[in-house]
Amino acid sequence: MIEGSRRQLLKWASLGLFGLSIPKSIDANVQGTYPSYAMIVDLERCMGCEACVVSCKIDQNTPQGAFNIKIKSITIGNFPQVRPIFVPVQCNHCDNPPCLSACSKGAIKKLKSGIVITDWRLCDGKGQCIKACPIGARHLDERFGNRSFKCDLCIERLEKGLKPACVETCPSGARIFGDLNNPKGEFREYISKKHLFQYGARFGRGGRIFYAGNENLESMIPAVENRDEKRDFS
Amino acid sequence: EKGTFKYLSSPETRVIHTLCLGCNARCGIKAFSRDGKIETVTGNPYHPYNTLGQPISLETPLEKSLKISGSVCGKAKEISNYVFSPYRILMPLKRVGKRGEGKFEPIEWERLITEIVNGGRLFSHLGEDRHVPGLKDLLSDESIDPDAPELGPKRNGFCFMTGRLQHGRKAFIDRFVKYAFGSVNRIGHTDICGLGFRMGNYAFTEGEAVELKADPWSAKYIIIFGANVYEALQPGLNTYGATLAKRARNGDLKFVIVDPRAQKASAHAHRWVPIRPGQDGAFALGIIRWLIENKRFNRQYLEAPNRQAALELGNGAYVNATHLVVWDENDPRHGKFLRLGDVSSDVSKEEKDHFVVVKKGGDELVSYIEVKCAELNVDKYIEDGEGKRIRVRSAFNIMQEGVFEHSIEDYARFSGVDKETIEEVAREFSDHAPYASVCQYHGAGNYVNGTYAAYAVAALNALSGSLGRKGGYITSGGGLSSWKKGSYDLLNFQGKRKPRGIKISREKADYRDSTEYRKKQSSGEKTYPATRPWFPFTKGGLSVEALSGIDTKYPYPITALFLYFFNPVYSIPGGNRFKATLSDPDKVPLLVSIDIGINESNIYADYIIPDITYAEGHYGWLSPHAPAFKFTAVRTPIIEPITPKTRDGRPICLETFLIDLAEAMNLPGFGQNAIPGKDSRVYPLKQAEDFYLRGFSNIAENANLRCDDTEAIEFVERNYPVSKYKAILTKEEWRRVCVLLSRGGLFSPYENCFWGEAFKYGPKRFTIYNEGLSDTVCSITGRRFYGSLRYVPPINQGDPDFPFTLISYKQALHTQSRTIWHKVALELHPQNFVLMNQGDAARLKLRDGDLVWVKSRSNRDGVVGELRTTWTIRPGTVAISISYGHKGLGASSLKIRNAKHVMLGGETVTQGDIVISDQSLGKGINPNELSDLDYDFGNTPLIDLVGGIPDFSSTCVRVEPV
Repeated sequence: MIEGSRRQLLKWASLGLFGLSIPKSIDANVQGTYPSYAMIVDLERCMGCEACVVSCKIDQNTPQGAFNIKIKSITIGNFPQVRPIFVPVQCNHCDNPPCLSACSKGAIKKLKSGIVITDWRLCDGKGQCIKACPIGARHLDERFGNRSFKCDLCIERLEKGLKPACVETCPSGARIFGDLNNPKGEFREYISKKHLFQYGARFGRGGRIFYAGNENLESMIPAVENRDEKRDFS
Repeated sequence: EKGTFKYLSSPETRVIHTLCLGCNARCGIKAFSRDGKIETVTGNPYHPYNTLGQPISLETPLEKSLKISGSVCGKAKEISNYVFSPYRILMPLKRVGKRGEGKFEPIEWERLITEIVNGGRLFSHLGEDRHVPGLKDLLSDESIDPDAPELGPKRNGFCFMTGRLQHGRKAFIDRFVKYAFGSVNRIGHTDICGLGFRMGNYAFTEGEAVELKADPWSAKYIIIFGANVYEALQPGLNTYGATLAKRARNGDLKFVIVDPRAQKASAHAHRWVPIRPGQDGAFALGIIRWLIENKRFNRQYLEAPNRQAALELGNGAYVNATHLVVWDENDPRHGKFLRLGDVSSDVSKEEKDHFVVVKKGGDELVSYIEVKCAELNVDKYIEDGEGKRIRVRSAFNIMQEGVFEHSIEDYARFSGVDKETIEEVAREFSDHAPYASVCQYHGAGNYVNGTYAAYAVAALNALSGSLGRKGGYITSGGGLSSWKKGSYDLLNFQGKRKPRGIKISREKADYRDSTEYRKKQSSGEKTYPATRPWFPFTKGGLSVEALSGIDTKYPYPITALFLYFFNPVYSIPGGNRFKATLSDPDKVPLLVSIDIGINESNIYADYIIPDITYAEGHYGWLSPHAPAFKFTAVRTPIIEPITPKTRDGRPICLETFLIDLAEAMNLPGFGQNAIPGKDSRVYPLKQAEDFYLRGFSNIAENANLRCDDTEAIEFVERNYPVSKYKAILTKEEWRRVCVLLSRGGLFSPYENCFWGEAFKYGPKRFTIYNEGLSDTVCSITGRRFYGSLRYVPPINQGDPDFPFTLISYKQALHTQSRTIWHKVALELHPQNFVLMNQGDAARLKLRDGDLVWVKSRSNRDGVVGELRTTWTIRPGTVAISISYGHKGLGASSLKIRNAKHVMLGGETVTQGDIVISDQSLGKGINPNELSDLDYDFGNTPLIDLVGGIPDFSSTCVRVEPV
């Protein structure tokens, strides 16, 4: 845990959070325009292998039992016309985050880059944000005074010019990461050509996680709301 | 941007390109280590397995490569949890209780070596009065059984069984066991790895190759039989599954999953075919019959009688469909190919053995190489060279007869797949030919009679004409450069022995050549059945039958058994049966295990030697799995070994152990004068690196690598722990080795494996009629095996008392027996489940989450598991994943003197002499505990009589509420 705590503190220090509310290095690039980050998860490519879950867990060192990413295993149809699908769920980085409005301490911020972060200096560990999140993306870390934690798109990796850990590790390339203000390569192709949908769209919150897939898969998206569903087929 | 190390967490961070061993898929890894710890791993961008087959060029500077990461799966990410498990053992142990009681004490290295070499009354203080034989007692060229000299010398009493072996260590172990000690009994574990599909390929290629798969990079239609492509397979989900997912998403490929369970890949499959377990052959034969009847097979390809003709069609290999076979029960040549010498005396010596075909559109008999096109379906009488009238049939004609023994309706009934589905899949398969092929793996044919199932599955590729071509059924391209010879001869040495005799598993040995057979014959006794089966026609690696042989002392008793990284009790279906074998000092007088922990099998050992993990050693050189690609990837340590060192400073591990045993017995090939150099000097083999670095050097030399690549040399010397051994090589050799190590090996692009469409490597010929198989006599029935495709029913014929068929599978985050220390995997999925169809469960009034008893004929007490009901499994089938239900590796407590110094976890897992168990490691159930045993052969695990395939799919179970 000592290792984890040191790493965690370094992380926030490096983002300048001790001094600034908006870390320059992430939000401002040299041209003075802002990157606007988003991730597309292609449900027609996700193999449900959980490499991203393991990678994230190890990289972020989340507490026992808590994960920043979960893969919901959903079954469509009945035997024999049946197939499993896998829906990776993580913080949606909502445009108007319910967790942000729920936090009485103002610890949760929506950065210009679109990333929703929690300022641990302000987090009181009461966990109002936990209840507010409809997809259960948040958890409390009792190793750090019960502060609230969730996916931050690996903000410290972005700062180094790396992609989020889940994107880097995904074997089938089902996770496509990019800048909405300056879309390039495969990300651009997905934005322009593929059918994309969002969990957050259901209640007008948009967000930065997009799913790609056919309409049949789109109809499955409400299932991510079912936070208690336990369908473990190990 | 200040260069390379901007991407590292600290200036102390080291970066090493090496190979994963989370499973055997052979993916590369880029490992980051610091202060002896592993920070993280990502994919090696130079390696095709981390890059969906599209790696960066080897020319790419390392600095640039550090900004690019390939992908890895979750198993790779857990390397640190595995390497630093508190339940790793660090000190050599000697048993101080009864075998299997779990009581050990540390033993000093020198004494360990002396006791194993010399034997003695080693356990007399435990009240065991016996003299334990030492290895030295076996160093004799006297016959193990003077009455049966074919069994070989006493040396064969030493049996060394290998579990997760890798090339490199395989060469090292073979050097010790086979060529220095002189025993034939270095036994692999191919059988439990997946001998079924391999036997199908073995028959299909006349033993040339057993690993072939559909090429996922160019195929347009793949039928997947028993290959769990999104969770397991080799190449793994990180390569094969991921490529399928990507190409299917882009609309470039359709794939069909044939599996009783809608495995994860069903998410993106064109179809899921919920087949009955053990019936892959019936489904394949149904498709073949439809293709023939509807003339939808690739006739042009089948009519090509030789490789040249096939090459013109874009195939690197031909199939022997047009070759003629003598078909006359009264002729000694019955079942053999007709040779040119049989029909004409006017032929040269070389031509005499040529196969014979009927020239297309006529009656003329010609050599198979003389024409580009031959008659496919032949059944006629001809006159042979001596004027004798004989019946000849083409291989295709014989195959067709076997296929037509049953109707498509029959095949539908056998396989539990409706006729329409068989026809639709057949039509789609045909529509996409020749880019239509199959991928079969562990599940296909891994059961009794599986050889014929897998043979039929493989033969589908002949009908679509996908053999030896892009997008077709192909092997890998093999290695790029050889380790064996170069400046150093790593194969030969002075005093090298040639092992001889019969393996304890009776693989590749014919019962008819045995003394047992001859004795029975001369005394007029019934010659069949043999005491236990023999396997002249097999790929081999029969660990199950080896253990059964040891149990029954057949065909001879063994004296010393070494287990390397092998956990048979856990991993073999019915492996529990071998607890009795391993605990019996009469059957196994000396039992030694080399492993990183104490598992379900080596708990019976007399001595356990702690080994290092793949992060600390396991140097090696690995070529690709099928399909496609050509590379020689290398494994090198990420961190220094964490095991203690011997007095002279070598880490305790497999190599140090074998070297010291060899030196104590004065075996050739080890010690001061061991490795002959091209310069006629002889080099020492006194530590692992003496061997492996010279292997690396040969690889680098044979590949003509540069020796002036400063970036590579600096990179390796800065980062790689192995560089401290550089003095073993000359300066120039070391520099070349640096180039090799810097990229994690040598890799060539996908396209290099092809001439246009044709695949350059692998077998040149495939056989839909196999003369060798037809010539093999079953050691039990005394009858010849059938030489072509035919439906052979599985042994599971249903049982009202046990109405479900049990299948098992692997999960994406696990490999078989050795990933239970993967903490994140366990945190995500603390246990496995008993999967049952929702309809079946409703009928039995069982509910999701219920605790249930699962019982089988051979395990009537049963095991308790948690039920998961789902529509993603065929009714009548129950599935349980492997990897859980451990009793060892920390799941049970042990008594070890000085335990805190023995266990890596020290005081966190010990209390005095007690190793405290972690209950979370033992959750769930192991399906192998339920597997049926063979009541005809000493209640040992079931095996197939052709190839020795263990049975993973025939056990019947019943499920009852607790």
